[in-house]
Amino acid sequence: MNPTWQLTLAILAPVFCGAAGMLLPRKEVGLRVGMSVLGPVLAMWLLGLFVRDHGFEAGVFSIAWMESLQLNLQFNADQLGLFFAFLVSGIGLLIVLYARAYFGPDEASLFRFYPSLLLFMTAMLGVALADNFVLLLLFWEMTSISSFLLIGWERDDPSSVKKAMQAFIVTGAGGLAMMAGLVLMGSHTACWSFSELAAAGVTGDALTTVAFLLIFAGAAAKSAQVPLHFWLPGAMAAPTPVSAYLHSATMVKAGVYLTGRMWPIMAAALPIWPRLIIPLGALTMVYGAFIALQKTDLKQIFAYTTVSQLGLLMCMYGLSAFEYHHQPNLVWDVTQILNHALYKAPLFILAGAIGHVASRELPELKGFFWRGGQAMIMSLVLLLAAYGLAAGPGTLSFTAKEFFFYQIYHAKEAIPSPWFWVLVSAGVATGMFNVAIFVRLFRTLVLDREPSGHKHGHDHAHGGGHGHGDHGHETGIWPAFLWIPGLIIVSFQFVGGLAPGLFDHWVLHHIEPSRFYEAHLPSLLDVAAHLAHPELPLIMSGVAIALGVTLGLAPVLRGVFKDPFDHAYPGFYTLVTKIVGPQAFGFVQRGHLGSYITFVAVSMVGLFFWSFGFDLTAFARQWPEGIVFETDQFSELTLGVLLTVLVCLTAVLLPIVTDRASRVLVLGTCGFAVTAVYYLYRAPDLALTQISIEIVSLILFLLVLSLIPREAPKARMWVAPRVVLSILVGGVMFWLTLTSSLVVRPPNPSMAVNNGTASTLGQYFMRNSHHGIDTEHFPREQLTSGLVDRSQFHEGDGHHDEASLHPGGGGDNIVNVILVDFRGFDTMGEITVLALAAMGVWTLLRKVPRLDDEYCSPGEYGNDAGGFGDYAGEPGGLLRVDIPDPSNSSGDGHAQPAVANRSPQS
Amino acid sequence: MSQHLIVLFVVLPMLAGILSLFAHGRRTLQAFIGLVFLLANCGVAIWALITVCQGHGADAGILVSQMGNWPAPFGITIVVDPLSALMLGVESVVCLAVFIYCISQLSDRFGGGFFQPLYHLLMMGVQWSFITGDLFNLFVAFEIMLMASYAMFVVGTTPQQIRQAYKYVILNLIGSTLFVTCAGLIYGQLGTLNMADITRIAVSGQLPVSSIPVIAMLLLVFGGKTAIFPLWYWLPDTYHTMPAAVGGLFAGLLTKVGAYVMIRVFVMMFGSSQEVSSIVAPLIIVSAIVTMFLGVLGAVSMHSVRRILSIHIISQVGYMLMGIGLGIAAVSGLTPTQTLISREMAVAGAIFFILHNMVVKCCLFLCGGLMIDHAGSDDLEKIGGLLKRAPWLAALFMIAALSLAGLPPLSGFFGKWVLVKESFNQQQYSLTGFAVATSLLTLLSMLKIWSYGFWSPPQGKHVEHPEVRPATAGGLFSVALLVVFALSMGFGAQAYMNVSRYAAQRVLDPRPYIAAVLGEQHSPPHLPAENTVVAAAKLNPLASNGEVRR
Repeated sequence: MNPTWQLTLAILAPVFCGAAGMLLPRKEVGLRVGMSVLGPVLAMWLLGLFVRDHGFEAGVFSIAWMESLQLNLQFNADQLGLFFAFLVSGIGLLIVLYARAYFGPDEASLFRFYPSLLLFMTAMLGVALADNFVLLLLFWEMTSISSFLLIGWERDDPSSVKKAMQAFIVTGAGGLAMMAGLVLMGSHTACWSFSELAAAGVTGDALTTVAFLLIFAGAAAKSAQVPLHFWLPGAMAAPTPVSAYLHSATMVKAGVYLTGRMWPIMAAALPIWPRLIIPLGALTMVYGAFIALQKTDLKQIFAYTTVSQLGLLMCMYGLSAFEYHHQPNLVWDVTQILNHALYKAPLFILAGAIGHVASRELPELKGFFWRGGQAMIMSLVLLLAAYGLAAGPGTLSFTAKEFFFYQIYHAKEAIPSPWFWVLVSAGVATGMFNVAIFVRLFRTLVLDREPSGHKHGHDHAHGGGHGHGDHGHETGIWPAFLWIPGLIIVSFQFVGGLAPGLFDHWVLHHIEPSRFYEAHLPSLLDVAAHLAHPELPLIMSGVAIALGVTLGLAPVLRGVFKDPFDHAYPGFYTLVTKIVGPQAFGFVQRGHLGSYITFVAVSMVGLFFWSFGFDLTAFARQWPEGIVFETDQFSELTLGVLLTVLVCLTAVLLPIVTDRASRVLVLGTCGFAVTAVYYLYRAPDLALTQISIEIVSLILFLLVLSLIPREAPKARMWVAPRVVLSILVGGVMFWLTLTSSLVVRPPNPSMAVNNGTASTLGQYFMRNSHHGIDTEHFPREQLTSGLVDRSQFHEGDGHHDEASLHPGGGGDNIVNVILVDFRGFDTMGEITVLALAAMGVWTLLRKVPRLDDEYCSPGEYGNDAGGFGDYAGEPGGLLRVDIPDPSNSSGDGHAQPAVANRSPQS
Repeated sequence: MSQHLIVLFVVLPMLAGILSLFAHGRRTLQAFIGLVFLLANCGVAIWALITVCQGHGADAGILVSQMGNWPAPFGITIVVDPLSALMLGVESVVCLAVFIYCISQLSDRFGGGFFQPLYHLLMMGVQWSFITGDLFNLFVAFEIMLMASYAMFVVGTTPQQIRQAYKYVILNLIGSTLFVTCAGLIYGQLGTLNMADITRIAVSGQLPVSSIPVIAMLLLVFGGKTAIFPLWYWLPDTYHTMPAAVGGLFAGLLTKVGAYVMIRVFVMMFGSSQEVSSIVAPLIIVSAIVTMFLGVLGAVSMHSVRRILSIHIISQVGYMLMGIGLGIAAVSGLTPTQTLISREMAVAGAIFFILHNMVVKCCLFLCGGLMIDHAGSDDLEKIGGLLKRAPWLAALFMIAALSLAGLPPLSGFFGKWVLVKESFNQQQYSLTGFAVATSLLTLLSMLKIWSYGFWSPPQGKHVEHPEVRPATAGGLFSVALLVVFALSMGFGAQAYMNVSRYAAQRVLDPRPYIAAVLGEQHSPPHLPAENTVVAAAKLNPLASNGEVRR
């Protein structure tokens, strides 16, 4: 099989199984579990086949998907990727079984849980194996989505819904930053995948640095680095299987994984790499461990230790920028990642199990160890895992922590002295806190033997227990699966710790190329030698354990400090949706028409001046030449000027006159003056149209006046600005009209068709109105009076047979021919507009109850009339809607098209 | 000969409108007529799209028909070029889906009366706008669209809503007045209204100096229709008062027509004119930033589904403006070829974004409508727990919402990806930043609807609404149809993007358009200055895989 398809199938196997599980009948719990187990098993099988064929260093496999969008099915099945893929599917398998025990035989919960979980598994496998940037982003966001769905599991609990949103928004913000970073990296380097980027190499220029910072922001958000860590403790609202899987073992490692992907490419090239990542990781590491110590809820404790551990992992990748003996300080960091998964997943599994049978609150768990068989096993497994958390000797965790300390130690030359010791102290402090947590757990569960009545109290503390009400009574093998997966996983801790050679042979040998550390001790003899000559790392471990035991036993630092970042997301949410959003948007969207019209008018004036570059001398330069008064047209001109003055006067009067009736009359005056202008300039058709419209609208306005409330709406703006704005708008229109009518038009060769002589539309229309005969040279009087001698047209026209094809429009009146032929398509549209207006008006009128009663039969219009009882008593009905100024809408709808239709013939 | 069939885009909806007007009062008959014609319309749209995409050589994938057979600048030309064809293709499917929703989900109060005739005529206006090749004719198309929308507003609304509609009508009338005035002034300046002819004048660098302010005014006109920053007021105050189906139709089509026209006018017609672009491009880019960010801030602060969605329309328009702005802005630091490809991709991104938005926005509105029908209210503080009552609706909503938020591999992502990429390439970093921030807040607002609408239990008292009616099969089917369409745009993004890019090439190099409309001899031999390389980019929409590389 094509290796790319093999990997694709491995990635998709879980989600297919999840979808198939949804098709099963709800009752079939067993089948559903089987189907869900099949997902990770198939994935592992396919990956295993892949490894058998291609090994752990197979390289890049690619199939084109959307090349022009830089998205391809391109996978990089190298050691890091395959390690993650096996980790995800392996732990996933155990989590599927654990979830069955956790939810009990609850059909509804399992029905919706498994698909989401398996969707996540696919997403995470994809993240681990994707090489292409966009493909990575795709799976990355998919993990966010599935995490969102799973955190918001407890839908009836508004707080857990908020926590889900918080997690999605924080990781989503990171994802977006990452998208920007990947785009920048891609378009800057022309590489759209990590393998290409590694081959091409990067330089430490500014753009690459910015791109790296953006990508790292995504990684930091996903891997819960301070100050973006707060979503992770919040995510504990999810059911415990989810916490164990997504929020400790796998998903939160995605950011670490991404950093690991990037470090061989960028760590050496970018000076900012160690300077940013080491302090950030160290801070997160100490901060998380410190807050964890304050918590009393098991899941919260483990969540914060997860934050701490993620900080440590980041810090290690930061340190890997430095070389030691000309070798990288570390390669894939697999030991530490694996180690964390191997103790943190069991911790969560057992936290859920204990919460299930008793409680997750430490004060309520005193002496839990002694409460019977199952409690004893659970406590034991929990403490084994917590021993791993404390990095006790004999665990893989101890080795891993030594690795980390050696890494700091090796970086001694690269890090200036005070900072080196700060880093050492941070490492010791983190170790100390972790040890203290273990000691405290041990003391509470085992040493504190306090008789208590909290037996079998169900856990509802933080939304962890739900949908498994009758689970406590379930019998059979399944209840044991509350702790079996934890035991299986944690046992690897001790295999790795006690038999390092075996672990090395099985695991590390394949996937971690760099294993030269002193901490890597293949046999017990080496351990003895090592103990005899302790170096700084071993001393650090010793100090941390000693201090930790003391701190754990001392009654200090319990619940004193709260994480201030708990308020970060609610604060952000309130800020955006309650303060900034409404204020900013409300500033422009004020809700009244006057302000909107003002904005539009201001924009218009602003746009006009902007188009001149705010350069007023341009006006002078553009002043059209050729304004010439022709004396023979003086009489026409005089009349025209008079009419123009009249029109202007009405325009000025309209805002001054407050009485509505007078306004209507003034408006009418304006309209009739315009009609006169049309007539004066020989457009009788238009004059006729306009005068009919004016008459009708005047009468209508006067009729409507009686229905409108008397009081005029108050102006919301000062008078002076309104006057200025009006004058400016008028001035703009004046200027535009003036220049448009006097401009020297560009020559238009495309009009030189037909007889080759027409150079304007007007000439063409004249020549083609009547059967293609040129009417342009006809005596002017004949044309304007409309008394054209028709017989002249047919002279010289070879055939005036009506049936033969004529190029012309076939009408005497050019305006008519324009309206119905040249631009008949426009006219058809205008007629449609009229029909639409009629429909609208008719709909409106039917709503006036008076008319309803008289004209409409109730049956025809269904239940329509009933819906409007709320204003049935008011005479006038809808016409009483507050209409501030009817002059705005005067004739715009219909008069304007008629005017505009004139333009082609001018 | 078959290219004259493009007139069907006007004729079919008009016939449907007239026939269903005659079937007034018989909803079933009306629905039957509507379905037949809408399906036919889809067929024609698909035919046009395929024909246009296959076009090479002489006809260059541009279908032209001269109304009344008057030669080009004299009569009215209708044109279907790749851009129009794409718009029509998606729009016809969206119209079909919304229609199915309307006939099955709307009560008689909203879906009765003249609703169906108005629906077809609105669609006629929209399609008319997509195919017209004449500026004044475009005005007519806008008038049809707007008049139909005014009339649809009043079907089944309450007096309070008509009060809001009044703002809509007035502001749009002002816009129309400006439009018709500008059309007149353009005719005065250039002596023609034919788009190809105007383009020819602009490409050959013959625009009179005094025409620049007039052309700039067009930004005001089309910006108003598109609902960009200082001109969007008519939209947020009104859309949420409409029934969700009507809102969906308007959301899916009206502002997108504006965006389409902005591409047509500012990229195709005047994009090659340095004078115009240098004035318009900075304004478009600034407006894009404010529109997308302020819009999304408004959206997240709202409490009702329809308000969030309708204000989101504005925010999304910002992305389209971003693409348009990047398509015409002056570019520094790139070679001419890179500039050209970057512009092409930016405009293609804008086109893709328009298509994606038509589908997804409309789909979300329909989901919102179903939510209201289920819960009796769209106030997020009252409703909740819909996941249990309507799981399928929840799933469909989730896909559409994440698509809007732009999560890969859903359709919203790819438009965003291309736009963000080109804004980086052109070093417009502020655009990038705001686009990303907007995307985050978009996600937040979608999660808000999801969390409070579908997850959290209803808060406060459940208000019984007289119009509660569970989702019908038809309603769900229409939403599912749109979701499937959106998914196809996500998983098959490359195909859509390639056609969009083809459309963008045709728009950025309008010479084939001019040649198709006016005749080969009138097409300018070359484009001004930096656009000259266009000829190098060979046009094959089904295999264009070029990338921007530095």
